[in-house]
Amino acid sequence: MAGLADLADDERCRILLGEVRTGLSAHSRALADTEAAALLSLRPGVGVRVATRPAAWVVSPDLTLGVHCPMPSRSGARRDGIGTILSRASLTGGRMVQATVHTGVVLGRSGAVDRRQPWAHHLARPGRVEVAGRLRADDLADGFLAAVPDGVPGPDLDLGAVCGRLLDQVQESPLLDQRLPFRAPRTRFRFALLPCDHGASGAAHVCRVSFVVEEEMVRVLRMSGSVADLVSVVGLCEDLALHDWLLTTVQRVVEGSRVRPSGGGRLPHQLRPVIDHLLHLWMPGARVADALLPVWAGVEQRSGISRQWENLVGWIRDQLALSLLADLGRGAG
Amino acid sequence: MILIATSDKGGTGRSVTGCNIALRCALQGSNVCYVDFDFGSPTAGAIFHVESAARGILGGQGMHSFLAGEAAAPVELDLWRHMDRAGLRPRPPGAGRLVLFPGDEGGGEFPVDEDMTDRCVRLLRRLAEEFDLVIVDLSAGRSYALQLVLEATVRPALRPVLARWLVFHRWTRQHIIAAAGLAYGDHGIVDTGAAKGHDRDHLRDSIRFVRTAVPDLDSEQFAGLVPTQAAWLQETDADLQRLAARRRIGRSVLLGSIPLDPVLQWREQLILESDVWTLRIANPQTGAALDELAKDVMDDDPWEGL
Ligand SMILES: Nc1ncnc2c1ncn2[C@@H]1O[C@H](COP(=O)(O)OP(=O)(O)O)[C@@H](O)[C@H]1O
Ligand SMILES: [Mg+2]
Repeated sequence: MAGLADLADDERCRILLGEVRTGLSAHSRALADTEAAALLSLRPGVGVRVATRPAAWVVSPDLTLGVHCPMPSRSGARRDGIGTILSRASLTGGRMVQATVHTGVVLGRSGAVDRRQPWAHHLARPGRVEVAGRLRADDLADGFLAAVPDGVPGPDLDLGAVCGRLLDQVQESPLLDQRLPFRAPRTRFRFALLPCDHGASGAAHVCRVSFVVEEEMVRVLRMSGSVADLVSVVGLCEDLALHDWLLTTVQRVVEGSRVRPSGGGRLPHQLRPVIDHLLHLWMPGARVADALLPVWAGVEQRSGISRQWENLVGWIRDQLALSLLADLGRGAG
Repeated sequence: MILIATSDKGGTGRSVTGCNIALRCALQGSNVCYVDFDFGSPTAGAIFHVESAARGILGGQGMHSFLAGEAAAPVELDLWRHMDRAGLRPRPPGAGRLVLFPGDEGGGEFPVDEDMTDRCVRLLRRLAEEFDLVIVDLSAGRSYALQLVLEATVRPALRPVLARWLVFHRWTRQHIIAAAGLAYGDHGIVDTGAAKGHDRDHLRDSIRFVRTAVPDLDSEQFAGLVPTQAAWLQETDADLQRLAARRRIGRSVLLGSIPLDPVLQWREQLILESDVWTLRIANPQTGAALDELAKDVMDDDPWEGL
């Protein structure tokens, strides 16, 4: 029987690993909340959660998946992990669809006896994987975050594959008409939270944050800190991934329309769907726990994502204004 | 949109022309991916100048392995980082994404089962969500790959997605007859598709033809012919035109004609502006024909019902 003290100790050496994939919902228009709720009812009998402010947000119940496989590592140490991972899907603004997979990994402590626990033990702790044998937290996180160059799937714990499948499952629902207003890439956002040494005060805090845009569509966020409520960190990552996707998607469209202007002061035709479907969805930090807002600020400082967004939106507004003037001119002439 | 590239015979120019269309569409700003379903002969990597994927990839994570259920997710190569050719790295400003899903080296044809169709539907639907143009390069003839794609595109998740078919053929008697047979003949595309639940007329209306390596009789290549030779060529060309019309693959369903090009005759590769204007090894007509084809693939007009 694990005592309370043991459990608390466990919590402290937990490492959060996860991935979010973001895309445009496969539908001609934004979904209403009730439609989104039907789409995301992934478990019979378990309801979805809905928030209407500041933006419509609907999230599926958690799905639990049992895993027993080698854990990733940079060093090549192959330690088995056993337990469960959690996944969920969500829709923001009726338009942006996300699948998220995460788990908290508990590393074996040196000196601890490695006993195989029965499945009931793991099922009672959803979203937690226990590692048998020694593995350093850094080694694990580095291995996990470095995985998947160009979509090459590894033999190890593959959260990305689970994430991709869940997003596919939602997107191919018969409730969606598959008539997207434009094509948008999916981004992959991998994240890890490692425990840090100080800050035993009990209050949640995150001290080190690094955010890297790795390939065209891959982003990696690595944090250190101590946060008891891992789900709040997952929420933060979803919010970051969402806004990074918005920026990436609109940036690509704007870049294309700059290289090939329509001429005659007309609004580049590529911009119209972006204006109709995406521009109003920018609301950074809307659902992020107060204690984690500094992480947003940290990412912001480094990558300036809000500044880039404002520039883009400003440019699009200018094009819109110019095209209106040109229309007026044509009307007069 | 999903563009399915087929031909009755191998060696027709399906892959070379398909890859060049992919590149030109991406340069024009479309997001494009190229999916190698030519399981016996996956050569797209070589044409895109990616040495590591020249005859498909090793390691069991190509298209064949993915469809067979042996890989959780297929390898996708961002071509703007992998094409080993000056001027194509990194992505030129304003160009769309260009991604290759390579085949497996040493793969082969295999019978289609239910799970494979599910995986195919899932993959193609996802790609149609992300890309403006999804080019699927099929094995030649009445292959398993053809069966698979006809089966997949009739499923509910893919039915709403626009699918267009291109049949490539060379400009000879035998090739014309074979291409018409593949489209309209026994166990051809229309026949097989209808048996799988496609609407026969709609499927027939979504097939267009591309003639490859067509000798251009007005070009300098043929300037040195003696009059009897020139007359004979003219006559033969007119014969072929009549044959194509009789077999219902005449002008009304012709999407493009790619001239016989000295570079492509010697080497499977991408034709860039620099090949035409700086190196002066490819003919300007080839570049123009490829551009025209890339435009017509995406336009609605040439695909209007007949
Ligand atoms: N327009 C062309 N002019 C000359 N040769 C061509 C042309 N198109 C293709 N080829 C050549 O024909 C051969 C077969 O082309 P390929 O695309 O591999 O055919 P497929 O995919 O139909 O088997 C290749 O050597 C290719 O370079
Ligand atoms: Mg080929």
